[in-house]
Amino acid sequence: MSSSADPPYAGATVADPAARDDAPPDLPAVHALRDAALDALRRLTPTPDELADWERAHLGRRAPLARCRARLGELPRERRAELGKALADAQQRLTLAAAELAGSAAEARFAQERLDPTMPPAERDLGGLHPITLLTRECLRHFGELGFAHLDSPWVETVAHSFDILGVPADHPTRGLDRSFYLTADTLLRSHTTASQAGVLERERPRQPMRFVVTGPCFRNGVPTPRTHTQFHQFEVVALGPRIRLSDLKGLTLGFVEDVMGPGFAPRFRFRSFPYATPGVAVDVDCRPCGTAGCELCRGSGRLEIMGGGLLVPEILRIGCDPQRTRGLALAISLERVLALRHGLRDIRHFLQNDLRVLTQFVQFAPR
Amino acid sequence: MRIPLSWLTAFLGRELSARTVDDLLGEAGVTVTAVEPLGLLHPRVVAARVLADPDGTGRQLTVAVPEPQVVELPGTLARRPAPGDVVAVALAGARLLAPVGAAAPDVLHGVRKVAAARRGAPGGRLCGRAELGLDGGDDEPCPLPADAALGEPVHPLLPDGRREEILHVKVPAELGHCRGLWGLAVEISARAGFDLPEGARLARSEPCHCDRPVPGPALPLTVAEPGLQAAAALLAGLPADLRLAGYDGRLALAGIAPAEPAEGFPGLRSALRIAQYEYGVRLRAHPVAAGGSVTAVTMGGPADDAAAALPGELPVPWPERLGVRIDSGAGPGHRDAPAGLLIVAVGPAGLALGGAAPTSLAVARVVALLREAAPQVGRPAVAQAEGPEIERRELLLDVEELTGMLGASLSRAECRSLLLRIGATAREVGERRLLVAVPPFRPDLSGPAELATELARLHGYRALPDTVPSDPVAPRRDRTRVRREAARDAVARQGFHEVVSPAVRDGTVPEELRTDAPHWYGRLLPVLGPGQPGQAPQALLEVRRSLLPGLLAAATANLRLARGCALFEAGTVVLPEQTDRPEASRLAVLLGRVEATASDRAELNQQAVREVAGALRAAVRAAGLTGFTLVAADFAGFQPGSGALVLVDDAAVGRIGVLHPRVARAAAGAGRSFAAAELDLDALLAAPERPPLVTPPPRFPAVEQDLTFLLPGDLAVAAVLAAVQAATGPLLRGLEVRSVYRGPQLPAGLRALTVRLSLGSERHTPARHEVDDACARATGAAAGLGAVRRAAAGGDPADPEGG
Repeated sequence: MSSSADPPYAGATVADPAARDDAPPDLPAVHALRDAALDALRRLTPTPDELADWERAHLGRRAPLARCRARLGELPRERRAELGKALADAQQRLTLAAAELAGSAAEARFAQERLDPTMPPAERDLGGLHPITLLTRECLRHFGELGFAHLDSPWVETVAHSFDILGVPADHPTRGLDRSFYLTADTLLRSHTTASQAGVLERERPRQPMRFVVTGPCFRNGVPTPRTHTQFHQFEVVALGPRIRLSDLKGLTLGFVEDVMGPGFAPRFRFRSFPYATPGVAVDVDCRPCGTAGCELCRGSGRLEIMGGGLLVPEILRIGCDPQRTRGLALAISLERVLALRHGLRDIRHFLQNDLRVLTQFVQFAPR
Repeated sequence: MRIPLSWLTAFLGRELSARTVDDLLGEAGVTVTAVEPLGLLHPRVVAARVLADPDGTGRQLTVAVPEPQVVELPGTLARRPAPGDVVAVALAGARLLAPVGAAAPDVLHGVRKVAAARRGAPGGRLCGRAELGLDGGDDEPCPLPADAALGEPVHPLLPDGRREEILHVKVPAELGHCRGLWGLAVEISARAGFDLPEGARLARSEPCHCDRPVPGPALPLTVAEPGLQAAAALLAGLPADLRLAGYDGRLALAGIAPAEPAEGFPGLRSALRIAQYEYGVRLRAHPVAAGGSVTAVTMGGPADDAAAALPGELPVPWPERLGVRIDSGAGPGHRDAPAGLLIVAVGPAGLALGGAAPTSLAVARVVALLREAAPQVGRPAVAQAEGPEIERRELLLDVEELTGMLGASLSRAECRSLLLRIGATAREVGERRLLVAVPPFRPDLSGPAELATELARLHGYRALPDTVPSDPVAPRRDRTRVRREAARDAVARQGFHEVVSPAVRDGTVPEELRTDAPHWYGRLLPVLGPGQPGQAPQALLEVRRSLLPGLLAAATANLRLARGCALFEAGTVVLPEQTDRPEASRLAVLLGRVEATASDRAELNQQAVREVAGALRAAVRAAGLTGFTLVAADFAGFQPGSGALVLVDDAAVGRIGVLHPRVARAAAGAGRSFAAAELDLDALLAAPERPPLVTPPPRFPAVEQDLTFLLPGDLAVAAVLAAVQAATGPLLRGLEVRSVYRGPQLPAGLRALTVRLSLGSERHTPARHEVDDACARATGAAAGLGAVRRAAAGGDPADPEGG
C-alpha cells in the first residue's frame, strides 16, 4: 500500500536513465520508465492526494521522464527525434491514463454523494426597491408603450392648480386646513396629481397631440385607514388630441388592469363626475385579499376603487390648448390600492410603515 | 343613505345580489360606498363547538373555533347549548340583527356590533336564531350540523335564513330622484332591462286607487310654486294610537328612528317616514278641524301657521320649499284630535319615472299603510296638481359630436329614447342634431356639455367599446429620469432596501434631531393646521427638508426586530428658502445596527461608513459620473471626526458620516449606531453624464503588493490614497484599501491601513526592482503625510509586512 510518505514509485526497480552518472537515455529506458509509472498508477488508490503525488512523481518537472527530456541534447542528432517522440508519447500516455483513472475515481465518488434538491431554496440578502417604485416602473413601461411620456411634477402646488382651476368649489371640504397640508396660504402639498396637470399644460402648451404621465406622492390630512392614508401615490395619465374619446378611457383602463394587475379582477366602471372631468368614471376591481367576501379594505363591498378620471373639461384644456380643437382625458391610478389588491394585502398602510419583513418580499418579485 | 337590500329588492320584485345592485347603481352614477352583511351572512359569524362553562355563572361559554374562545351568552337565551353541540357564534366585529326596540350600547340602527375582546370580557357572542335572521325567536341557539367546519362562516349551512345586507349609498346632488328606493329601483330596472312590477313597486297588501294619476281633483288642491308637483289625500277616522306593525325593524336598519308613541299618531308618522324613504319626496300630515270641510289647499307658498304639521317629517332636502295653506270652514284642526288628516307630498314637477309621479305614489303608500293597519279608515279624498309650468330649457345636441366624444355609435332615435328616461323630450333639427327640452328638475343640465355627460351616463360604460388614443404623438426622451433610476438601482444592488417615509409628520420630533444646519437636518418646515376656531392656524405638523429623519425612523423601527438594516430613499424635500422651486430631489442612504460591544464601535462604524460610501459611489457611477471623492469635514448632527463631504468632479453633492450618538440615542435609544449619507440628486444629475472609458485587458500580468501604514488619528485615509496614487508612478493600475485596523495591538490613536497596489505595464511584467521603486515612492508619499509604513516602524525593513 502506498502513501504520501511512501510514494508509489518508490519501489520501482527501473534505473533512472536521466541520472547524471548514467549514460544518456535510450528508447528501452524510456519505455521502462513509462511502464513503471503505469504500473505504479495501477497499484494506486485513486484518491485526489495520491493522484497528485503520482503526477508530481511521474509527470512533474523533476520526474524521470522530464529529466530525460532535459538530456535530449546530449544525444546524437539522428536519435533525438526518435527519443523525443518516445518521450512525448510516454508523457501523453501517462497523462491520459492518469486522467482516466481520475475520471473514473471521481465518478465513483460522485456516485456516493447524496444531495437533497428539495431543500427550501436559499435566499440571498439582497437590497431592493420599494414596491411603489417597482409598480411605478411597471406603469411607466405599460403606458410608455402606448406613447405616454413621464414628466416631472412638483410636490408643492399652488391653490390655483390644486383647486381653483379644477373647479373645486370654494366651500369644498378638501380645501380646508384640516384636509390638506398647506405650507402657506397659497401653496400646499398636492392633494392629487391632477393638480400637476395644470402646471404641465402651462409649461408645455401643446399644439400637437400629447400624452404624458405625472406620478408621485399626494397628501391628504386625515386619519389613516386600511384604504386611505395621509400620503399615497397616484399615477395619472393624460392624453390630449382631437380624437380623444370616452372609449379610450375604457380601453386604457382595461389594458392597465389586464397588463399590470393580471387576470381575475373584473374591472367595473362606475359613472362619476368630477369638477374637472366629465363624463367621469371610477373604476372598481374585485377585492382579492378577501375574495370579494368583504373586508376593511373594500368596506364589505367586495370591490375597491383603484382609479378615476374622465374627459377633461374645457376650462382645463384652455390652460394650454384650444378646447375647440382638442379633447383630453385623464385617469388617476391609486398605486397603493393596486399593490394591495395585486399582492393580497388588506391594508395599504403597510407601504408606508417600511417594515422590512414586508418590503423584502417584493425584492425577488419580477414585474409582469 | 342606508338601504336594506331586502327592502330594495321588494321594490324591484326580484332577488338581486348586493354585487349586482352595486354594479347597476354604479353605472347609473350612484356609489355604493360599503356593503354591510348582517346576521348569518356576516363572515365573522362562524361555526363553533361548545366546550364548557368557564366560570359557572352561565353568562359565558367556552367554544372551539377551533381554538378555544370565551364568548358571551345572551341573557335572553332560554336554553343553553350542551357541551359538544355545534352552534353559530359571532366573533368580534360581526354584525347581528338586533331585536326591534333593543337599546344597548352595542346596538345602532337595529344592528348589534359584537365588540372586540377586552381584558376579562369575552371576545364573541353566541347567536340566537333571531339575531341571525332565522325564524324561531331570540331565545333559541342555532344548532348546526355536527360535522360543520369550525371557524368557517355559517351562511352556506343555513340556506333558508334571512339574507340581509345594508348598502351604504351615496347619491350625487344632480340625481335627486335617486334619494328614494323608487328612483333607485327605476335606475336599476332600466339598466338591467326589466320592468318594475306593479305589486312590488308599492310593496303593499291592499290596492289603493291613488297610486295612479288621479283623473280629477277631489280636493281643491293648488300649487303656487312653479316647478313643483304635489299630491294630497284627506283621511278621516284615523285612530290616534294606531301603530304599524312589522316596520320598525326595517326602519331601524334604514337608519330611521321609529316614531315615539308619546308624540301621537305613531302609525301615521311611521307611514310618512316609510313613504318618504321609498319615494324621496317631502311628506307632511296636517290636522284638519272637525266640523268643517277643506275648501282649498295651497302648496308651495309661504307656510301657514294654521297648517302646522304633525312632527315626523324626515329631512328630505328636495325640494327645499313646502309651504301649505289649508282653507277650511272651521279653522285649524286640533293636533291631538283632528277630524281629518291631510297628507301632502311635494316634489319636482315633471318627474314621472315609470309613468307615475312620485308624489302620488308616496301619498298612496301612506294611505295604503294606514288602511292596512286600520281597515275602518275610509277611502280618502285625493288630489294631485302641478304648479305653474316652467319653461323648459332647450339645448341643441350635436349627435355626431356626441358619438365622437363617446367613441360609440349612437343614433338620434337612441338618444331620444335615453333622454325620455329622465323626462326630457327631443326633436330632430337638421341632419345630425336634436333640440332637447330639459325637465325643470334637472337644473344641472345647463348646456350641451352637461347634456352629453348625462347621455353618457344613461348610455352606460358597459355599452362603450374599449379603444386606445389614436392621435399620433411625438416620442419624448427623459434621460434625467433614466439616470435617477439607475442611481436608485445601483444603491439597491449594494444591498440596501428602499423605503418610502412620511414627508409630513407631527411636531413631536425630539429636539436632539433638530439642528440649524440648513443642508440636511434643519428644522422641519411647519405645515398649517386647523388650530382653534377664531384663532390663527397653528403649526401642528411639519414637512421634511431632509430624507434622513424619515429614514432614521424607519431604521429605528426595523432595529427592534433585527440587529442591522440597510435602507435608502430617493425622494423630494421641501426647501422654502428656494423661492423659484421650493423643493429638491435627494437620495439618502442609512446603515443602522445594534451595537454589540462598545470596544468595536469605532471599527464597525468605520466599516459602516465605507459601505454607505460604496453605495453612494455606485449611485454616482450609475448616473454616468466619475470622480467620486470624499473630503473629511464636520457637520451638525454627525459625530465629530466622522463626516465627509461628497465631491463628484470637485462639486459638493452630499455629506456622509456617522450620526451623532446624541441624535441616534434620541431617535432610537441607546446602543444603536447609524452611518448615513444624503446626496443632492438635482446637483448630481445637473452634471452631464460621461460614458465610462473602457480599458482592454492587460497583455502582461500585474504584480500586486500590499503595504501597511500606521496613520495618526487625524490623517484621512483618502489623503493617503491620493498621495500614493499620485506618487506611485506609471505602473500603478489599481489602488485598493484592504483593511483599516484599530485596536489594542496598536498604540492609542493609530490606525493600520493596508492598501494593495496593482502594478503593471503594457510592455512587460514589472521587474522586482520596478516594484520596489514604486513601493518606495508610495511609502515616501505617505510618509510625507505622517503615515509610517508598518514594517519600518519596528519590523525588518527587508521583509516588510504585507510585501
